[in-house]
Amino acid sequence: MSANQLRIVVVVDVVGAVAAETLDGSVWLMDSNKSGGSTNEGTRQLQTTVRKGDQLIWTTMSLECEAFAAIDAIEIDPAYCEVTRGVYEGTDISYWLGKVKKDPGDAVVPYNVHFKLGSRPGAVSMSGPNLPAITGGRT
Amino acid sequence: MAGTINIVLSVDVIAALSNRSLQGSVHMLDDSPWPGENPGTARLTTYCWPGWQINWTVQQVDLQTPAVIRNIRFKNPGSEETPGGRWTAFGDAGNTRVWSGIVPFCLIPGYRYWYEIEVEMARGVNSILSVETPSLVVPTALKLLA
Amino acid sequence: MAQQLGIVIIIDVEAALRAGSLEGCTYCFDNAGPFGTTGMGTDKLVSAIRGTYWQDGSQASEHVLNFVATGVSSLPITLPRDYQHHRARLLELATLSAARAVAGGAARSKAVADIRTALAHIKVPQLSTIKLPSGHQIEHALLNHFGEPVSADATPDTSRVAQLPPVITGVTGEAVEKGIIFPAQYGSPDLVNGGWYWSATVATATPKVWSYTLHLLLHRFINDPASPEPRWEPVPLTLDGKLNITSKPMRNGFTGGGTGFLPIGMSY
Repeated sequence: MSANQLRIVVVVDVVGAVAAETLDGSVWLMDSNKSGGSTNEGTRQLQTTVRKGDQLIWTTMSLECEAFAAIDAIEIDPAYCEVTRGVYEGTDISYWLGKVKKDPGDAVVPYNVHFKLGSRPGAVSMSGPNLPAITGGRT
Repeated sequence: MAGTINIVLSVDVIAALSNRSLQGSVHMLDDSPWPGENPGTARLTTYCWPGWQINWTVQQVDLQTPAVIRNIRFKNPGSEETPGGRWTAFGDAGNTRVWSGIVPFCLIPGYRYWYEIEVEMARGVNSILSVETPSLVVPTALKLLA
Repeated sequence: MAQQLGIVIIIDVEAALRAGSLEGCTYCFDNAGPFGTTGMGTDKLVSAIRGTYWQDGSQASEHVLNFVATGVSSLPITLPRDYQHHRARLLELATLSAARAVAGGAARSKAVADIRTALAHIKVPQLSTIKLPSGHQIEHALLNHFGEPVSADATPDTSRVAQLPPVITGVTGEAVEKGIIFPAQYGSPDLVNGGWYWSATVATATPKVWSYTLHLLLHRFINDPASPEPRWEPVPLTLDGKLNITSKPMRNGFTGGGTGFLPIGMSY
């Protein structure tokens, strides 16, 4: 089967995260690959099943429509997935593109997402150990 | 005739939480018949008269964020003590408190009574922030108002 | 006191169309998570509404629900709603100026082959038709997941086309029938986001868990080689949600009861 493009949406409660100084309890992930075997949809431990060659496209969404949220960086083992940032042309809204270079097989490869939230100067990242991940076995 | 004065705190909640401070994110206004000093800032001075009722409310600029007044504490002249609302230990009931009170008859005209107003926004380490710069003053020139 | 509650509904449209139901492929959220909402990230959201009342029993605080729906495979909702229109237009303008450039150079061009090569690189956006339940049709330029117009020469692969966001068409159910919520569609002055959204005010006098039904319209992408353009067929589906309404009395922050003197000017 040919390589797929999979969408991953990261929902953030910006007010909750900025008030509590942590993303714990304020971040959830879901992807477009439920029928391909992804699990833990709608939680922070989303596991997306992938194959070599697949493209993952991450975007973020704030629970409060007035709040600013953007993905500042995605940290993932570059041996499995190479990430780059892109922008929707003509806007300042960004997405992150990941190219799966190696099939993870049975391995669970976790990744960390760093955010810029509200008018907070620095980035906030998800704290381990319950991180989202990619794994092999996409159907 | 005693009247009512409304003091509104307009808060940019996300900016306040992001900067961990209400400075620059809170804008106070009142509708007293005698115009206050420094409207639109956290240093509002509201002119009021004994027997008048003052109502404090908070209005968040980013409408979907939770914000309530958690406490208002007045600084009494000549004492470091800052007695506050006696019912501050309500726990979870932040949104069940209404902050209104009558200006007492014992206030010294012309004397600035500072108060600290505490705002609670969402939940977490940064959620309770306060400003200590607003004040109430009874004007020295007596004006008879209908 | 007056806080607006945002209820966000994110739908895995492809899974929902396959199952014929929104159950199991819808992820709902609201921003009262720290205040008692349960079911965040699932299709069983129970939103906490903390109502308050005055001494005379009348409702003390305003509660407004704002519903936002989008798809996992849709473009971010922060992009303008007519982004596809804007991108298609830019592509068309680029195409026109490329065509003019070729025409301008025709006199100097050595061969027809040169002109053919130049023209072959010109891109035209792939248009599609959205069929509305009313029978009307509107045109929509296909965009991929990066916001770029899909080229008309390429055969659009369904998974590589940005999904149209699901649209909320109404709110019904027990909460509406019993006058607990009053839903209406509002026009937002924010033209960048296309303007329409569903909102509901809440009467909190009857504390209970109330249910409501959201009506959503999904669009199935159909790429039929026999027809000139791909099209989107409307698929209406419903989703149930719940509101957990509680109500507490308002108390004066200074006295704990009714209005009294402000605690100033005297030692306490």
